[in-house]
Amino acid sequence: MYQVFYDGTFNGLLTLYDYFDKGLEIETVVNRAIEKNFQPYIFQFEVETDRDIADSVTKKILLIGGEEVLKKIYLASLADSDKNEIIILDYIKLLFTDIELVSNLSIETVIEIEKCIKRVFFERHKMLGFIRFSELYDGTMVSFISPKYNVLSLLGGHFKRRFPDIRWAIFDKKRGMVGYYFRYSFEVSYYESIDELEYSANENKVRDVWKVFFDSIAIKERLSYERQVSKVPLRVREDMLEFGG
Amino acid sequence: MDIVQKVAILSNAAKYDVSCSSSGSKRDSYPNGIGSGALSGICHTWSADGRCVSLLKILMTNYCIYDCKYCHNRKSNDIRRAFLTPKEIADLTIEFYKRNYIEGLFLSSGIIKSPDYTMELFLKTAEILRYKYRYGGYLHMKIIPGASKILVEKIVKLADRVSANLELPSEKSLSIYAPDKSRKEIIKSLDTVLKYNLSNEQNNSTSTQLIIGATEETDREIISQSEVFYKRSLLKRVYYSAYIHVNSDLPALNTEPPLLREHRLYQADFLLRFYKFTSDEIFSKRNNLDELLDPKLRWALDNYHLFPVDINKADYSMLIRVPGIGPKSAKKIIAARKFGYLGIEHLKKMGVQLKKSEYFMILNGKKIRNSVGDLVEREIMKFTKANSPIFKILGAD
Ligand code: SF4
Repeated sequence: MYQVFYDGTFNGLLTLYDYFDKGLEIETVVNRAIEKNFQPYIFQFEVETDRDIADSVTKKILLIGGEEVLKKIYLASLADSDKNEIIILDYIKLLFTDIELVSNLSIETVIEIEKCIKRVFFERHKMLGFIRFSELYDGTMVSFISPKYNVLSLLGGHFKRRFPDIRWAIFDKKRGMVGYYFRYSFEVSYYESIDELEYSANENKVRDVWKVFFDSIAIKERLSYERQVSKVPLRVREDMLEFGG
Repeated sequence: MDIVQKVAILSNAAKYDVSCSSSGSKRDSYPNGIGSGALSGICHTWSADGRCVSLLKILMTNYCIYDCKYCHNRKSNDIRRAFLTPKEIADLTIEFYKRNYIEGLFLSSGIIKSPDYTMELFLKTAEILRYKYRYGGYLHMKIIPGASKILVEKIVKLADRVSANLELPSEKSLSIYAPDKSRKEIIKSLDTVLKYNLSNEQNNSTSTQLIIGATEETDREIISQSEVFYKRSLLKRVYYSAYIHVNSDLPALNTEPPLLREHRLYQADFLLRFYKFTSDEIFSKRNNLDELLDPKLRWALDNYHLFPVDINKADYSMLIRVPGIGPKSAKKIIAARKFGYLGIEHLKKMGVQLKKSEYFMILNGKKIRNSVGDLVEREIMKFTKANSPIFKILGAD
């Protein structure tokens, strides 16, 4: 039984599938992109992401399951902080055994996959509201987030429709990823570090107005911090300026 | 006065208006513009009183020539006043919008000079946003009663939603507490919106706000009034707002805002809109809603002779009248019946909530529960737990 490491990418996961398929026995999977603290285990195995292997697994999924199933697997894999790699590996195995199995809702793995997808969309929906952009000196809008799940790639469409003519970027601090939009295309890539940002002249003023607005709208006869905490979990507040982020 | 101070005064003054919902709109983006409506409502943050914040909700000004008794901004109050120009409001909206702080603007105002003068400034604001900034985000504007038809129509054309507050649940109360306002004028404005929508195939939704607990109307009077407005399509939503005591000279019937009553009214309103209950049904045995039990359960108990219903035979309108079964479950049940006789396991699999509904149904020709006694007891206990201060302190569950 091995403790298996991979880089947290979809291709990495598919490469891992190939080993799994060939009989690698897995005790736990560690996603290097988000897990910094883990209990070391005696038998360790590092998966080197291999584009060709990943591509061939992708092709096989497409061939047997079609686009719908591939999409499902991808979406489920975004629920990365749930340690759901093994479920996904099992799911792909089910698919390769018999396509009928992946639509059988009495199989635990299939249910789990559906649940993962739901949670991912829920996180995405929350992020659509919680994301805060700041304006840089050249008009680019930037945002920093630390979402629970890897939803960055699912945010592009919404903001593309909303800000078609603005240049904007969303940084996922937790995963070192950035989604950048310019001239009608949205691309996700990785970043190492960011230079000191230079904000527009207007930025601080607008932030001040927003904070004042936010503080003054609460009706004091109805204050309910419990409700507020249940809606805006503490974990996302560090990225929201009305909570001092 | 600097913009920060103005916003502090004018957002503070606007907060008592309840319609937070940005309700979603299908507006397409302008080419080379900014913004689009989102179909599912998006909350951008939650204020300290636990309400969803999705709009820049603000008054253009809190100056007012009127003197409504329940209003903080009335002319006889000595308060700090401010005014935002159309350009300032439009700029603020765009700056907030592109930072993703908000889904759009909800603009209301005190009345300066005259209703028409005030509406013209609103129109100006809408025009700057839509034509100059090509803003495609959500826009909700208050219609000032008494404004001329042509202005109302121009605003309806540019806004996603308009509202005209009825303020108080009856003509009589309005004439006592808001002597400058006329109910006829308010209804006339709503009528203008309706006619405009019909003749232009637009679907600009309308809403209103009612202040609850400042005057003596019963729940029955309030809900049957909403029913009339819904039936005539004059309103899409009625917002009920528990009265908050802002001026000391208005005799409040309650000192605390009647939040629970507000909650029950929303539930009853929901029964009107989504369950096609009539107000006569809801109030068949009472004039005010029950505090302890939600209106649907209360109705079922009041009309216990109609139950239990056979899940395998009942039609849609009866299924949704079973406490615990909503339109979603009812539709699922009807669809599933085509494939055979339903048992309790099927209902569970479909996700039908049995906690309440099992007291009101027949399956396989048998009643599941013989008496509703323990359900009522449980519901009252739940209510006590949720509302008693002692339980809250102990955090008991
Ligand atoms: S019209 Fe009446 S309710 Fe509206 S701002 Fe003026 S005083 Fe207040």
